[in-house]
Amino acid sequence: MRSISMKNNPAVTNTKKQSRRKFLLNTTATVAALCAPSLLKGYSIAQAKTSSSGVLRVATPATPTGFDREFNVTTGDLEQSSNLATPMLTWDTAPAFGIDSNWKVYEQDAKKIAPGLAESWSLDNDGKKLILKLRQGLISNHGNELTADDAVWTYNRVHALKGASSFLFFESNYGDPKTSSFEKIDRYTFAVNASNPSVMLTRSQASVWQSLIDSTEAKKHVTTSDPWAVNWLKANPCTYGSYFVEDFKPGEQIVYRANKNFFGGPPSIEKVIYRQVPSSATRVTLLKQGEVDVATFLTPDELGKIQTAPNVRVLYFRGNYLSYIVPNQKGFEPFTDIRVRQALAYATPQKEIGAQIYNGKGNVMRSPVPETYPHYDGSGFSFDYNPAKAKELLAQAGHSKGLKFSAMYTDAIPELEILGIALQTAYRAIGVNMELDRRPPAAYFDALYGPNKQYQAALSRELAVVPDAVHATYQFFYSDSVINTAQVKDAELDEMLLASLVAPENKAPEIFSKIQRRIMEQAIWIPVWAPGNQVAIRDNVQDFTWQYNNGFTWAKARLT
Amino acid sequence: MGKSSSHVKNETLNGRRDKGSGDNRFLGNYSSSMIRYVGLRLLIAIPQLIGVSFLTFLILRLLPADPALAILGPYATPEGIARVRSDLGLDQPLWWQFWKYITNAISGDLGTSWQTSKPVFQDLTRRFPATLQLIILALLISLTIGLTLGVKIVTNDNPIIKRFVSGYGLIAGALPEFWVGLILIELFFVRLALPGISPPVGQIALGLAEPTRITGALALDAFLSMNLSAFLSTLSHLLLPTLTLVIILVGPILKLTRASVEEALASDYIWYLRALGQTEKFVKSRALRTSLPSILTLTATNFSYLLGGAVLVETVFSWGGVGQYAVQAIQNADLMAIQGFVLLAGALTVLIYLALDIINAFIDPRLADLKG
Repeated sequence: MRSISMKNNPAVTNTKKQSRRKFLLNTTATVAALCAPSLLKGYSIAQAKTSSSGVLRVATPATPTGFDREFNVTTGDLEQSSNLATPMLTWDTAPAFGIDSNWKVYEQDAKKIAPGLAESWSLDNDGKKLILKLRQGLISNHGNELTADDAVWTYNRVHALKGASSFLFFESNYGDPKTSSFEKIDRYTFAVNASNPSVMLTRSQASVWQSLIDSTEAKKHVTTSDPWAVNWLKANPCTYGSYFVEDFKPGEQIVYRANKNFFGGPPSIEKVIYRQVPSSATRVTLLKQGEVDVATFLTPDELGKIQTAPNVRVLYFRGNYLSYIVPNQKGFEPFTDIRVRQALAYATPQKEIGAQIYNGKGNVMRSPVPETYPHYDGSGFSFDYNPAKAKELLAQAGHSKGLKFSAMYTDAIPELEILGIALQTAYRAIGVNMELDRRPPAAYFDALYGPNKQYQAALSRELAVVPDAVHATYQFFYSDSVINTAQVKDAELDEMLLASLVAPENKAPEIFSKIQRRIMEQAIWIPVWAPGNQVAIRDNVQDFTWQYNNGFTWAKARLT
Repeated sequence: MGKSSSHVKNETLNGRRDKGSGDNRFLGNYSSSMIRYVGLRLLIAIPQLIGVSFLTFLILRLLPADPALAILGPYATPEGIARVRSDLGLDQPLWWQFWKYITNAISGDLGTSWQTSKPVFQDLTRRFPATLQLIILALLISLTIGLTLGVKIVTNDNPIIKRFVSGYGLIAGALPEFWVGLILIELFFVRLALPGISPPVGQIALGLAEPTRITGALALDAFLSMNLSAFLSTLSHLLLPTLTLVIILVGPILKLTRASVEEALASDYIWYLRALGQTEKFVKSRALRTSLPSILTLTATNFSYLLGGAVLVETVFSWGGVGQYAVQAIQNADLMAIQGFVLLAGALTVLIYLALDIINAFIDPRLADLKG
């Protein structure tokens, strides 16, 4: 009875509630105070594990989409492919041009081919047969030894699938199964039989696209409907590179583990973690704070700002990127007139753009072939900024009252927007109104590289991934090429380009000079700037190499 | 007097319960109305989902981007493109593609993402808990702050506080999420470098092993598996992205709560309650209850929006949730991934609104009375 009355008494209930609340508060505070040291300790353990010395941490815009070179060719795929897969031949390396040698940074040098998975090579049959002698004892991540069977299977697979590597096979005269073949001479000797001799026959073997697949493992995963294990290889690497994949979470991160049996010696950095950080501003922050060791694909503006941050270096490589305008000759009739194209070239303030947008890093684009590639010839460039001449040419072409066209670009390449605005402003001075047409990446690349080419002009920052003048010119300017982005049809140029495919080494310099001069004089592209490639990196990372795929190899790198 | 007051309260405010306790027929009707209502809403959800899928399917086919070319890159040969198009079924008539998609989707096969080379269903189920964890936490905190402040501010006479709250309510709704995120990173992580603030990358420290997967939400999994270091790491990673969303979300909740409670407090029944001598706390709780349906609707809207709308926060903090996945899919013409995401977001939105309608029907049974 008494207890009931106490329960119903509001004063007593309130007092009880208050004392219960006080008790709970006091208990929580006591527990928190007792646990705080251990909690903080636990937290510090969590933090400490993130920066162990044998781990290189890279912040990248994208992880790979997969591991099949025929179908996974995004920037993320290419950037990291050189650590995972090694071709039969490779390019020699040299101290990076313009970088303090104390920093021990290297770049590939396409003037000299070096052994890769193959230890030696030779040409036979009047330069139509390339014989490659594979190294013995190379073991894949699945434990199988590399043999000529793997090379034959990998190359036949390209013939069958006609995937992304096909272009290289065609350019090198072994793309057509009717006129070319791949041969196992003995367990470790492989031969490519091309339809014609070409400088590309040997050079193409050094492309990162030409990595070999462990066919013993891959064949275990073929099915009747998938005779080349496409579905399996997309998600399962089968390689002989300096690093193997330890853990892969697409869209988040990929962890590479050092291949202790790598032919170049075991890498000193045990693990490399590529973490996807889509926002470039966040990549900058992480690098500044030492949370990552490398930040890739920052904007020129961010690179300019971060170079003064303590313990951070911004390294410039001459690289192979070129920035230019593609005037689509079928998309906008006035572009068929050479005077209109040349007028735009003269109205382009290249040096000012280089200074303001690219912080002065790079050079004026003087050729469609990057200056680091063999057979580069910039003598065809004659478009120093001259708006008066540009106006004169426009008037001669019947456009004295001006011209209006649209230029598409994509935000996937951040500097294109600011580049477009700078060009837009410059062209207004000669009465040309260039409207900017921003498109999502897929739509932009579909228009540029697809069969329809629905655009009047395009702003582009592109690279020829194989360091060779054949690759840098034939694919973009041959009239029937799928990626003849300017849709140029020039019979004389076509003839030269076809001749370049079968040019012997001693004739190549002359042919390529002619080709480059022709392309520049005709202003088939409106040249702007060769911005090179820059990377922001902590100063404790040394002995790494820039590669032509605009990625870095960490096989010999050290963390100091 | 006290007895009489209590009697009035029971009849006026809990009339439904009092009436129900004395009338089984009402309860029966109420239950059957509710069941009918929920059943009908579930039935409507099926054509809604098919409609959403169909529209998404059609719109994606109109995009000026060929997935085959996106997969093969610039060096694709015409034969290669034709082969990939055939593999993806893109060379088949539209109706056939849609039929195939729907029939596969029913069995849980949403196709394969070319960006990740993995089944879309697997991608979504792995990423979804990360997004869900973030937005549920942000919404719960926002609701707590928004409701508490919204009610308190109504009766607060301090003009400075009132002005501050009004100003905040206005500004918060207009702030871009990514900007708030970047500012918070700069302030707390870079400038102040506070202990416990993790780098803005992912849900757990780089290199730290993830806890045993139970729900997929790392913080919850770390807690359930008693993994202290992982739990602390996930909490510290949750801090800034959650705070970013909270700063944005509290604004509209606060504004709406304040407006609704103010409106409710001016109602006749509140005057009546006050006239009966009810405590101010009780009066406010009644006013808040009246405001709940509109606040719940706003919360549900925010939840649906955040499923895809938190993408900017996910991007700034490299969160790895479904929003980030969807945007990358759109940028790269990854059709299967976009379709899968829209289907998931559509299904969840339908479920959330269904749950909202049911809750609202419980709060106000007239909504479930289909005949009335």
